[in-house]
Amino acid sequence: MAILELHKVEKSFGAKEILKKVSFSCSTGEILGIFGRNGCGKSTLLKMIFGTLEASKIEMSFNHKLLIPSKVILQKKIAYLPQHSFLPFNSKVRDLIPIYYQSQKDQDAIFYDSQIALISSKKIKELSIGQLRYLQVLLIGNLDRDFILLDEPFSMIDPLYKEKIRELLLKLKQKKGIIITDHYYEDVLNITSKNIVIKDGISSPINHKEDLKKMEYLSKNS
Amino acid sequence: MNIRAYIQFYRDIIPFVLVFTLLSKVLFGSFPALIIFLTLGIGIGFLAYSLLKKKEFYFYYNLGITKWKLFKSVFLINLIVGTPLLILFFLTLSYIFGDFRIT
Repeated sequence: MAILELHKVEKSFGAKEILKKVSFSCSTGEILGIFGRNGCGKSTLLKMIFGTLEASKIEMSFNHKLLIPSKVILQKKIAYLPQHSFLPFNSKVRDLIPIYYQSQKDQDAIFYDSQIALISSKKIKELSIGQLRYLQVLLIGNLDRDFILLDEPFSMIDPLYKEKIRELLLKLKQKKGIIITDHYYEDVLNITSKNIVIKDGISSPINHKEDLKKMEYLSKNS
Repeated sequence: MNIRAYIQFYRDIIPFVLVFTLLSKVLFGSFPALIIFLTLGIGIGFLAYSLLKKKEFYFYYNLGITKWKLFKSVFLINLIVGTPLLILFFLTLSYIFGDFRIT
């Protein structure tokens, strides 16, 4: 079992403090949900963990050993799904899969997925949002990484693909730790093992939907 | 080493490098264009990619490939494969159109 821990993460843009005191841990076999209103720093936090955005302060450890964000990409312990599509726009699905998976066995696992079989001859730019998001989660989810960071995997996805992504994440959870942020809170709460909410730059644990109301992420009437 | 990933990146960045190189060929001639192809052209290509396809860097990051590694790979592929092909291309152009250097 692997564990990723974050302590006292801080981030400022100029004089504006976005994150002041964010801490959490996630183990393999867990899905951690991160909630927070727009602009509270959720995506910023994921980018800082992945090392593509510099933190003002961050203490991160992997299996209790110091993990330096700038080394995360090279060390291949964490995969990251950004909010936007990151796949080369003009390439075909069937050409990208062998780039991510070298062995025939690994490639087959992707090619024989029922959803991928339908789109393998299409170009990335021809895919629907649901197809594209599913492909992206499948591609990074099956990489040999202990943790995956998912920024809005359910956003704008139709119910069918939302269900497929949900099933896929629960399957991936058996071997990996997943950190997920999305405003589709019910979809997230359905699959997470634990959750935090970020408010005024500070993270707090939450246990149920009511806590999201208390933390003013949801309105009292939700 | 994931050769396929580096080739994919090269295919995506080379149009930007070639446009700048061909412009240099018209303005400065073949030899300066070749030098630009191997040096400044890569920088310009990288800049254009960073501006127009910035999000696609994450495709490579997830494979453990940093920007610096990508930059070095473009330089190497250009040197080993791109340069002979470009020389051949310039020779063909000269054969067909003559020397079309402006300056």
